[in-house]
This record gives sequence, structure tokens and C-alpha cells, in this order.
Amino acid sequence: MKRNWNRKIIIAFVILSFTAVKAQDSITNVIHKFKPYHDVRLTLGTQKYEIILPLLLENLGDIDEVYINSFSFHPDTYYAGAVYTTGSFSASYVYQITKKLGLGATMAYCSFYNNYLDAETNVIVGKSVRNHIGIYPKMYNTWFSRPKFSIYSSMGLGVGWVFKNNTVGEERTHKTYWNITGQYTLLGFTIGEKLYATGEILGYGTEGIVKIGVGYRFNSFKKL
Amino acid sequence: MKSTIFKLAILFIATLCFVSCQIQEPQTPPDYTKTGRIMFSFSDRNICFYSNLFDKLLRMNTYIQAADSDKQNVEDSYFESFKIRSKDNKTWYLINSGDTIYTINSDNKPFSSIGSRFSIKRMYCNPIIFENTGNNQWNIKTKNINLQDSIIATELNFNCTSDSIPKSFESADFNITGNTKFIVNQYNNQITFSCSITKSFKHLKNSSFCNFNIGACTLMAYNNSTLEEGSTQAEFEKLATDMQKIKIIYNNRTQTYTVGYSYNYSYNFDTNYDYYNFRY
Repeated sequence: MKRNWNRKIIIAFVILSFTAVKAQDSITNVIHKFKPYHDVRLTLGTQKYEIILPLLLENLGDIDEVYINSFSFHPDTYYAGAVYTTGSFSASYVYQITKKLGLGATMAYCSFYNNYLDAETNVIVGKSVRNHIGIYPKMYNTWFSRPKFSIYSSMGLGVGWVFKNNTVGEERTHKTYWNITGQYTLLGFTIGEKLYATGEILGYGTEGIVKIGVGYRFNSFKKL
Repeated sequence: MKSTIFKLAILFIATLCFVSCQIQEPQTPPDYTKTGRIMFSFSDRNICFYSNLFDKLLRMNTYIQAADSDKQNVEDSYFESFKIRSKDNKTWYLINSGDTIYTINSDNKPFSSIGSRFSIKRMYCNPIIFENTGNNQWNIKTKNINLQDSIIATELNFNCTSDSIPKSFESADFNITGNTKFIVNQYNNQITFSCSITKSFKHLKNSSFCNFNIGACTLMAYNNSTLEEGSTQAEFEKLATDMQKIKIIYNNRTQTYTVGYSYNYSYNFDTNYDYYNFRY
């Protein structure tokens, strides 16, 4: 008889513990109530194209490089070697107004560089460095949000500058021109609560096609 | 904390390695003696035009000197593309597809005799005179006329080294010496070219009037609008294969091209094409 009572007590505890766990879950959902917050993030991105957007203005600035097919007394004697990039560095600030909508600004930098080689000997005779800087407002649309995970898309359009330095032999040229620049990201995600990791794929623009980084949210959630 | 910073630094460097990369292959090296190469092509074409005219005169002389019974055979074998017409047996018309491509004025003397002068006029061009100067040599001297280019001055000598009476330019060995100066309109620019043959252009029998086996020349070009100028040394020779090697020195840079033997003369002078409109 005593044995039966012990068994009943154990069964009751197990049932109570499950109940308690379930009760705790529902409480968690309730206590995370959204409150607007500030967010900063730093990212590195892969940059596959030097012409980041269809930058007509940039091309106009570079008109001296357009090949003109005519008889010239000064044929090219050197050529551009492989073009490398540092990748894209960007710093963003976001003010998350609602659970879905965030507004902010991004500053992005990337550099492209190549050597110039003599056409006859293939010896390096110069180099070219193009530093791109872009600043633009940006809008974030978070379409899936959990406390430690979110998925978003973003879009920004603004202005950029290109600082171009060319050195060939003794001849040095410096040119600065502006262009329209920006970034569109189809799919981005964050993992983490306050300090979080971020990643973006399917991007197009100054910040690159694929990028990863870290971010920090200030006072993101308020406990009731 | 230090460990976290260290990990972040490692992550940053690893990411940097991932994002910084080559995005574009090196360009193809430019043709750094292209200007000299074009200068040679224009000059070579210019001389080729004269050798074509000279070839027509030698053929016409062969036709004129042939016996009446043999004239039809000569016409068929030496003027495949043409019908020969004449009203007075002095002025001859070479007609292709109804167009008079060439008009030849013959001398009373055979073209192979010293002092004889034959003139030839190609459609769209002014006539020029070839004169037999003796020793199996013919000469042209022209000034300020329009051929396929505007000629400023030309003095060329064609010296036959194989036959006493060559039947055509193509069927005999010739050495060409002299110089030529002409203007070409190139993309709204007038460019004056001059070519001075420093090593005679050697033509071997049984090859096209445009094929020269070996030779060298000094070339100059001058842009009448921008006043720019350039000079080139060119030397060429035929290779054992059906290729030609052209060595060009322009702006102290040297490059050797290997090209098809008749690379730029696939066109036919014997049609009514207006070579004034020809551009490189």
C-alpha cells in the first residue's frame, strides 16, 4: 500500500514539472516586449566587381581610358596587371523603430589596385589604386524576428567618391570623382541578442555580395 | 575578455583573407609598335598599288606584241577578269562587269624598248606614266595626283632581274627601289606617309604582285592636323611557310610580327571598288 503511494507521488512530480516548464515558456514570450533600440554593426564583404553599380558618372570621369580606334602616334606601351581588392569594410548604424522597420546609415570603403606592366618586357612600371568610399541612408525590413535570430532585407542609396592614384614611371596622376552608390541586400540575418553576429548573402553594391560581421544592440528588449 | 578579443582578431584576419582577392585577370599586352605596323601597311599597300598597275602594263604589252592569231589566247590567259577593247589600237580599255577599270595608253614602241612610255589610269584615279629607262628597268615619277591615296610625290624603279622581256610583273623577278609620299585620310585626320626603300623590295616570279620576298624601308608619318609625327624602321622577309615576318622598330621599341603572306591584300584592285574609301 505504502509502495503505491510512493509511485503516485513520483508520477505527480513528473506531471507537475512538465506543467511548470510549459508555464515558464509562455511567460518568456510575454516578457520580451519590443522597444525601439540603437544598433551598430561592422562588416567585411566580398567585392567582385569594381564598378559597383552601373555608375555612369564614374565612367564619365574615366573617359581617358576609353579606347579610341584611330591612328595614334603614341600607342600604349604598358598594360594593367591583375586587379585585386581589399574587400569591403562597412560600418552601419541602425535605429530599429519597430519590430519590422529599421532606419540608419552606412559608410563603406573598398579599394582596388593593380600594377602596370611594360608591354615588351612585362616588368612592373607603375601601379594604380582606387579607393572607393560611400555614404548612404539605409532601410532595413526585418521579416522574421526572434530574440536571438532575425532575417531581414535592406536597401540604401547614396553618394560615393573614388580617389584614384596612378603612377607610371615618373608620371603621377590623381583624380577624384563622385558617383551614385549604395547597397541592396536580399537576405541578411543576425544571430545573438545584444552582441550578435551578422551575415548577408545575395547583396549587390558597395558592401559586397557576401558579408559577415558583428553588431551590438543597445537596450534591445525590455523585461516586464 | 582577452581571449574574446584574440578570437575576434583571428576571425577578422581570416575574414579579411576571404574577402580580399583577385577580381580581374591581367589585360592583354598592347601592340606597342602598332603605329609603325600601320605605317608599314599603308606604305606596302601603296607600293603594291603601283606594282599592280605595272603588272597591267606589262600584260598589255604582251597582248599588243602578240600575233593577231594569238591575241585571243593572250587575252584569256593574261586578262582573265577583263574584256579588252580599243578604238585606235593605242588606247586600251580593260572592262570588268561593264565597268572600265583601267585605261591604258600605249606608246608606238614596245614597252620593252628604251624610252617607251605607257600610261595607265585606274577607275577613280589620275593616270600615271611608266617609262622604260633601259637595263630592263622601268620608272615612275609622279607628283600631286590622286591614286588610291593622294600622292604627293613618288619615284619608284622596277628592275627586272629574270627576263629580258617580262610578260607580266607576276611572272618575273623584280627589285623595287625608290620612295613614295602620300596622304591618307584617317578618321578626319590627314596623315602624310613617306616611305623610303632602304633595301630593295624583291619580288619573285610566280607570286602575286603584292608579295615581296624581302626588303626594308624607313617610314615617316605626319599628322597634318595635330602636327604629330613618328618614324619607323621596317624590315620583312618571307618565311619558308606561307608567312611573312615583319620587324618593326617604333619609338626605340622592337616587335616582330608573323603574318599571312598576303594578309592585307585579299582585296582585288580589278573591280570597281573605290579605294579612296579604303581604310586600314
